Amino acid sequence: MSVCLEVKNLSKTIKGKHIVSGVSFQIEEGKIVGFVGPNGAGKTTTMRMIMGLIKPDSGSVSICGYDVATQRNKAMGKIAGIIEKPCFYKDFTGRDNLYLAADISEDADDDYIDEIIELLDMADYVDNKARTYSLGMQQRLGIALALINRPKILILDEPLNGLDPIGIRELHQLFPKLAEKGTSILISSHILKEIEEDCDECIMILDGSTVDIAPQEGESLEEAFFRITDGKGGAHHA
Amino acid sequence: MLKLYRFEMKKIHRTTSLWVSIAVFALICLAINYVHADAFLTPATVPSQEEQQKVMSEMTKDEKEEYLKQIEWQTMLSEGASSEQLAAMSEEERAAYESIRAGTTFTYDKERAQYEIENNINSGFGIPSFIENAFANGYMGMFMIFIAVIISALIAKEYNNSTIKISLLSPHKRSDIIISKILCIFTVILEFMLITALLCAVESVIFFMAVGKTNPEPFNCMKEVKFGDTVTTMPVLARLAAVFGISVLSTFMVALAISFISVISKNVVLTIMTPVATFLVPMVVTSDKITSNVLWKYVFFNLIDNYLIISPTSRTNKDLAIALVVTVIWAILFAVGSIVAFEKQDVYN
Repeated sequence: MSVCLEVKNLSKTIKGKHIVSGVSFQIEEGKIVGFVGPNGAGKTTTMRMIMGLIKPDSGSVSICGYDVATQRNKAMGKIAGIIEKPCFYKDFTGRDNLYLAADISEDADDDYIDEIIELLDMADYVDNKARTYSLGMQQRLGIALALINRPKILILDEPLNGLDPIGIRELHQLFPKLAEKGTSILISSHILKEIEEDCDECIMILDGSTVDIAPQEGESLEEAFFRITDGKGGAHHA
Repeated sequence: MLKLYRFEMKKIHRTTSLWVSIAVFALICLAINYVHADAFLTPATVPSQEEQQKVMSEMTKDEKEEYLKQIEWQTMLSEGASSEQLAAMSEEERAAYESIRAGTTFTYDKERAQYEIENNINSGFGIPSFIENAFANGYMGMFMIFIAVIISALIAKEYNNSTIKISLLSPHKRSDIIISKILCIFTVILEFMLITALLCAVESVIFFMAVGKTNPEPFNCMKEVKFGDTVTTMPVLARLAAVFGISVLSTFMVALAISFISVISKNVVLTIMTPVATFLVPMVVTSDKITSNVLWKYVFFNLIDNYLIISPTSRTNKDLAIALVVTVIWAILFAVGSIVAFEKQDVYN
């Protein structure tokens, strides 16, 4: 299976603090990968670097073989996502937002937009102004906008935040569908049970570096997480 | 980049609040312009002796002589010149006097008339000069600054709303993204200016028809008129085009400066307050009403207006070539600065 995301020795220092230090991992095509870690561990910063929003001090990110630093426009054509909160134009309807995003994408057309609206069950409200949307509707619009570009890899920073149980279940059903079509997904979340259910594998970041979180025999992901972090958000020192 | 440019144009054309606020401001400026224009067709009132003494009390000897000459002109224009006074006039002064008395203009500005004589222009007060006057006066200047600030601050608003990520996460180079925004700003400024020029033209027709102070030949500036030399239509329209072009260029230059501030600050409040602090405040502080005329004329206009921005008013015409070159240089510097800053910056919003 081909590698669609390769992160090598990413490091970032912000205001003298090492936020990310030597992070490396790979994601294969069609995999759903969880990205976990305590608050302030460097998850969002790593995701921002993957998506080209911030420049790493060192290291590299390749998306489907395209380096984000040197082949930005080609790399951005293969990736999409939501960092912290979904972004859209509140004064436009959901549909208008999708059409606008399609305007600057590579190959989205009206049929594909309708397909996305149906996939995310947005038909009831897609023609309303986005400022009237609930949190769950906003999340779905954010995901819809991310899918416009037919990305090979989707980066989702805590996508289940603010969703009701129905919304959470719908996303649980959506992720495997996307993975079957060859889209890889990197999901960060604090809800470890959800990560365990949805994801094929898990990457953990702690104090800016990746650590091995493979659960021991009989151990759940949550238990492994607390074992490694000592339950206090810091590393466990034997 | 065409996709990005169309994307930016679509976004801005659909931002209703932007168009509503600009329309309101434009109507206010047009209304002020209407009243201001009316003053041009009001016969110049000769100040009373008491008022004249008060004004001259702070003048030097040369300034008093100049002032008294102007009073003499105003008196002749409003009451008519005696045959001795007419005989003492030069050919140019006679032509100016006759055109003013005939109703072309009622206010004699000696400095402006001298400029027009030197440059072979008789702008008269027809529709083209109404439009030129609209773009050359301070109210429209404020309107242009307002347009430049409000459109360019939309870039800062995108950072505040996090919608800048929509462009940043698209499959386009960062330089293409910011260049398309700059091109969009230029297009929208041109659109606003053309609409404003059209509204001024309509306003001038209403003015000439409704105010009652008729100019029997609203296009008389296009006639052959003796004012030292004769002029024809093309120089008048060329002057109008020059004023309009200078207005667009200066507005675009200010917009580029605000865009640069938007990209650097990523904050709407800071973006809007910077031109207020660096332009409006000095303009008010150095105006005649607060400090001396010297500061207003030499510090603000000659220094800031000629070397930072250009103005289509006749005051800067003497340094127009320099002001044009400086404006183009500033525009390039701000555009390049915006592109470089946008390329290199980390976006956390």
